Amino acid sequence: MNDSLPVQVVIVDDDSSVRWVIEQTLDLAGVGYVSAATGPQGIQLIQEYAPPLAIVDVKLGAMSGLDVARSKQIPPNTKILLVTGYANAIRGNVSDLPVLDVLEKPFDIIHLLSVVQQALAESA
Amino acid sequence: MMPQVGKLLNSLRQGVIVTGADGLIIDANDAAASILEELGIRIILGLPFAGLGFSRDIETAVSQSARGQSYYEKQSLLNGKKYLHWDSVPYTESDGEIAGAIFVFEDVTAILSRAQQKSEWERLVTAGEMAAGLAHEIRNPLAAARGALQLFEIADSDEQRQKTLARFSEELDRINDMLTDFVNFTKLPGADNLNPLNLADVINEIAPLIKSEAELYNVVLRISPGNAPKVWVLGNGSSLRQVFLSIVNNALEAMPLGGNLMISLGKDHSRVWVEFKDNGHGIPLEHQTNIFKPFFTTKVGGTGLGLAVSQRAINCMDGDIKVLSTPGAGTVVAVSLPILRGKGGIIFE
Repeated sequence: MNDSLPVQVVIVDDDSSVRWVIEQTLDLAGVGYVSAATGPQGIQLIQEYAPPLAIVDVKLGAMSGLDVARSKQIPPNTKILLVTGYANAIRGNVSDLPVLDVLEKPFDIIHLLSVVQQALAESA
Repeated sequence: MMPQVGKLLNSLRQGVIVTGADGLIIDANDAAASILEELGIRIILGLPFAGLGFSRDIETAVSQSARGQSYYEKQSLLNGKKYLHWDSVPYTESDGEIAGAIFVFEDVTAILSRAQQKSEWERLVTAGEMAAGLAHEIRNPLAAARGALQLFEIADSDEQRQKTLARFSEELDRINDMLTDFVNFTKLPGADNLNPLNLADVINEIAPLIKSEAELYNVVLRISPGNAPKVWVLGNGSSLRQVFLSIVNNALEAMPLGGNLMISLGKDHSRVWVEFKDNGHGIPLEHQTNIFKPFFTTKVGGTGLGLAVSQRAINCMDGDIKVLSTPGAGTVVAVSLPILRGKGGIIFE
C-alpha cells in the first residue's frame, strides 16, 4: 500500500488471504488502510485512527467481529462493514450496532469497492 | 452380626462389599453381585478383595480403608466398560478397633453414557454441523480466489496479472488441502477395510512416535501391555493409529508442564481395550458433554475434529470410546473393541 495515504479504513480479519483481497481492492481505489488479525488489535487500531470505516470479519477467534462492533471503545464516527460466510444469520442481529452493511463471502470486489467509496463519501 | 446386616443391605441398589482387616471378603449384598456379574466377576466370601478384578485404585483404597482411611465420591472405569461411583470407608468394632473396610459402589455407566454418547438423531445433527463448519471455513479461500480472479481481470500490468494468478492458484490449493484434510479426518473404515489385528501391535507401531512426543512435553511415558497382547480384533490399523495418536496428543497438551502418561491394555471375556491415563489439567465439567461434538474446541488452532472423528471411527469397528475426566486431576480415555472370535471361540496368535 501507499504509506503516504491517510488511513481511512481499518481491516480486521484473521485470514491472511481475505485480508490480502481487501487490501488489494483498497489499493486499487487509492484508499489508505491498516490491518489487524484479532479483535483486540483491531479495536486498538480503530481507536488510534478513528477511521470512517472498519471492515471486520465476524468469525475472528475469541473476540468475534460482533464483539468488536458492540465495543464501547469504537469512536462514534466509525461505521463497521461486517464480512461473513453467513450474512443472513448476522443481518438480524446488528440493527442496534454501528453496522453499515453485512458482506457475504465470497464477495464481489467491485461491490466491496462501491460500499467503501459510498461510506467514505458520506463521512466526508 | 455382619451376615444379618448383609441381608438388610440387599434392599439397596448400591453394591456393598465388606472386608476384614486382613483384606478378605466377609460379606457382599445382591446388588454387588449383580453389578459385578456383568463384568464376569464373581464374589466369593473368604477370598481376598484384591485380585477380584477391581481397578488398582479401588484395591488400594479398600486396603487403606482397612487401616483407617476414608475415600468418598470417587469414580473409576472398570475393565474399560463400566463406570463406578464409589466410597470406601473403615468400620470399627465396639471397642473402637478398626475391623475392616466397607466398599460401596454404584454403576453409573448408563448415566454417563446418556450424557456422552450420541443418539442417532444427534449423529445426524453432528453430520450437519460438520458440513456447516466446513462450508464456513472454505469461504475464506473462496473469497480470496474470487477476489484474485477479479483483480486479474482489471490488472494493468503483467506483474500484477502474474501476482493475482499465482494467488488464485494458491487459494485453489488451499481449498483442495482443506477438503483433503476433512475427507481424511472423516473417512470411516467400512466393513470391507477392517482386518484382524491386535491392539498391542498397533500401540507398538506408534510407540516410537509417542515416546519422542512425550519427551518434548517432559512427560513420563509408561506403556504396559497387560494381559491382552495377542487377542485379535477386527479393525482398521491406520484409523486406530490415528485415533490413538489423537488421544495421546490431547493427553500431552493437557500436561504442558510435564506429567505422567500411562498406556495400558486389558481384556475380559468379550472385549479388549486400550486405556490412556494422564494426570493433566482434566476437562472442565461444563465441557465434558461437548467433547465429542465436531468443531468443539477450546484450543488455539484446534480443529475440534479429533475426538468427534475418533468416536465415529471406533464406532465403525463396533467399538466404544469412553472418557472419564476429573478437572485438575487428569483424564482417562478408554478405547474398547470386541474380541474377534473364530469358529472355535477366541483366536489367539
